[in-house]
Amino acid sequence: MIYYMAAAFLIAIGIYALMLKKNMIKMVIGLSLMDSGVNLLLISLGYINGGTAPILLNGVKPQEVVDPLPQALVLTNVVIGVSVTALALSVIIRVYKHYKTLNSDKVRDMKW
Amino acid sequence: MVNIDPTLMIGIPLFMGFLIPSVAIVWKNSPRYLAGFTILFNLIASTLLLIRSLNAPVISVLGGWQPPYGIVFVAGPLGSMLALLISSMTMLTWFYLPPHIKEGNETKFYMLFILLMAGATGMVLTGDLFNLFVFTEITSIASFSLLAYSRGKDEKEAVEATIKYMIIGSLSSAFFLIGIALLYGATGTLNMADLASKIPSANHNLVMMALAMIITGLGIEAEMFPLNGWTPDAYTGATHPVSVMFASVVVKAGFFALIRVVFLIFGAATEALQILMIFGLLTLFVGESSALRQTDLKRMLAYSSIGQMGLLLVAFSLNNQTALVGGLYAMLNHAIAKGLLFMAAGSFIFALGTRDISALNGMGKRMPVTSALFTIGAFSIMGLPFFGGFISKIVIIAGSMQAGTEGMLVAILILSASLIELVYFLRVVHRIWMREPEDDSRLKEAPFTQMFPMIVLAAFVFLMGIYPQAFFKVLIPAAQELLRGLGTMIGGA
Repeated sequence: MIYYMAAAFLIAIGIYALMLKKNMIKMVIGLSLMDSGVNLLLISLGYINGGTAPILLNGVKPQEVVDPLPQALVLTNVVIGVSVTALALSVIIRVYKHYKTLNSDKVRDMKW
Repeated sequence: MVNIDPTLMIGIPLFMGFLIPSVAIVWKNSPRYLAGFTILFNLIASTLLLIRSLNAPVISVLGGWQPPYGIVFVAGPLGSMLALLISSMTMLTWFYLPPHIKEGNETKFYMLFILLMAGATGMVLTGDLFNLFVFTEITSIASFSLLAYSRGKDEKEAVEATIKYMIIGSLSSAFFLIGIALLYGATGTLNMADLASKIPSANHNLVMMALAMIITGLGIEAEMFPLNGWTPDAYTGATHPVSVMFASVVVKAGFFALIRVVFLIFGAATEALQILMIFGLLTLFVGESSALRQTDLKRMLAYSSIGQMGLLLVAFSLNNQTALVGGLYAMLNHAIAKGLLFMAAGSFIFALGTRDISALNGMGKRMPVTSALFTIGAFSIMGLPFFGGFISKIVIIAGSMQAGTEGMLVAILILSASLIELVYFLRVVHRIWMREPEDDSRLKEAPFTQMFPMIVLAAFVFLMGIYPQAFFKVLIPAAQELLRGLGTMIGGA
C-alpha cells in the first residue's frame, strides 16, 4: 500500500511542478518526477512481499516470484523518459537562446 | 502473392533510421533516396497488407511468444487502411520536401521523418496496449524533433511551439501510462483482445478510472478540446511539410488509437461515448469559431483541423455503422484534403514570404495552378458536392438521423458548424480569385516535384466525391470490425 501512496505522491508533485512552476527546467524536473511515480506504480503492481526474482530455479514456486512483466515495462519507460528529458532540456537551451529567459510566462509570442 | 510481414513495416524504417546517418558520411545525398526507398517499401507492404486483410485479419506474432503473453500485430481492414494512408501521405510529403528543408541538417530530418512514419504505422497495427504506448512515444518524440527543425524566420515560433507541445505531450503520455498500469492491475493482461474479454469481470471503478486516464492521454494527441492548446502553435511553427505530416499522419494515428481503445477494449462503453460526444461537439465549435477570426493562413487551417477532429469524434461516438463509415470517410477526406491545403498554403507562403491571409489577394492570377489546388482542398473540407467532404458529411448526418431525437440535434449542430466552415474558407477563396492583387506580377509556381503530390491529392479528393463506392468497399468492413470488437480476431489465444 505504501508503494501506491508513494507513487501517487510522486505523480502529484510532478503535476504540481508542471502546473505551478514558472521555470521551464523545474517543469522538466516535474515531468521526470511524474515519470518516476508512474514507474513506481507499475513496479508495485507486480510486487509480492518477500517474492524473489522471476527465475524458475529448483524449489521456486510460480506464486513466490514477482510479476516480471511490469519490470520489462518500467525498463522501457525509463529509456523513453531519459530521451524525453534530454530532448526537453535541449529544446529549453534553444528557447533560452531566442528569449533570454527560462520563465515560461515570458515565452508567449503566440496566442489563441 | 508475395506476403510481407507487417513487422517489417516497423523494422525496415527503424533499421534505415540507424543506417541513414552512417551512409551519409560516405555519400552526402543518400538520406533523401534511402528515406524514399524506405517509404516506398512501406507503401507496397501496406497495399499488400490491405488486400490480404480484406479476406481475413493478418496476425503476426513477435518473438515467438504466443498471445496473450507476447506482442502481436493485428491488421484488420481498418488498421491496414490507416497504414496505407500513413505510408502514402508520407510518400507524397517526401516528394514535397526539397525546397523547404534545404537549410539545416538534411540527414537528421530524413531520419526523424521515417521514424515518424514507423511510429505512426506501429500505432495503427499493434495489438498490445503497452506497445501502443511505445509507438505513441516514438511518434511524439519524432514529431517534437521535427517541429523544432524550423530554421531562420520561423525558428523562434517553432521552439516556443516545441516546448509547449513537449510538456503537454509528455504529460499526456504519463496519463496514458497510468491508465495502462491501472488496466494491467485490474485485469493482468495487456493484449487488447484479451483485455476486451477480461474487462467485464474486472473492478468497474478501476477500469473507469483507467479509461478516463487513457482518454486524457490520447485526447491530447487527437486534438480533443480542451487538450488541444498545442495544436495551432505547432502547425504554425512547423516547416510546411511537417505541418502536412501533423495533419494527415500524427493526429490521425492518435485519433485512431483513441477510438480503438474506446471501441475495442472497452466495448464502446456508453459512458465514454457520451463524454466523447460532448467533447467532440465542443471541439467542433471551438475549432471552427476560432478559425473564423484568424488572420494567419496556417493558423486558420490548424483550427479548421481541430474542428474536423471534433466532427470525427462526434461521428464515432454515435456508434452505429452508418455514422462510423461516415466518420472513417471524413477521416480519409480530412487527411487528404487538409494535406493538400497545407501543401498549397506552404507553396503560397514560400512564394509570398508571409502567412498573412490578406496577402493572398488576387493569387488566382499570380499563381493559378496552386490557387486552383488550394480551392479544391477548401471545397472538399467545406463539403461542397462532387468533393469527398460532401459524401462524408452526408453519411455522418444520415448516421446521426438513426440515433433518434438526440441525433437530430447532433445533425443540426454539425450542419451549423459546416456553415461556419463555409464562411471562413469562402472568405479565403474569395480573396484568391475575386480581389484585385496589389502587385500584378506573376509569382513562380512550385516546382513539379511539389506540384505532383498536390495534383495526386486533388485527384483523390475528386475521386472520393464522384466514386465513393470504391472507398466504401474498404470502409464498411472496417466499420464492422470496430463495432464487432477485437474479440473475434484474437489469434492464438
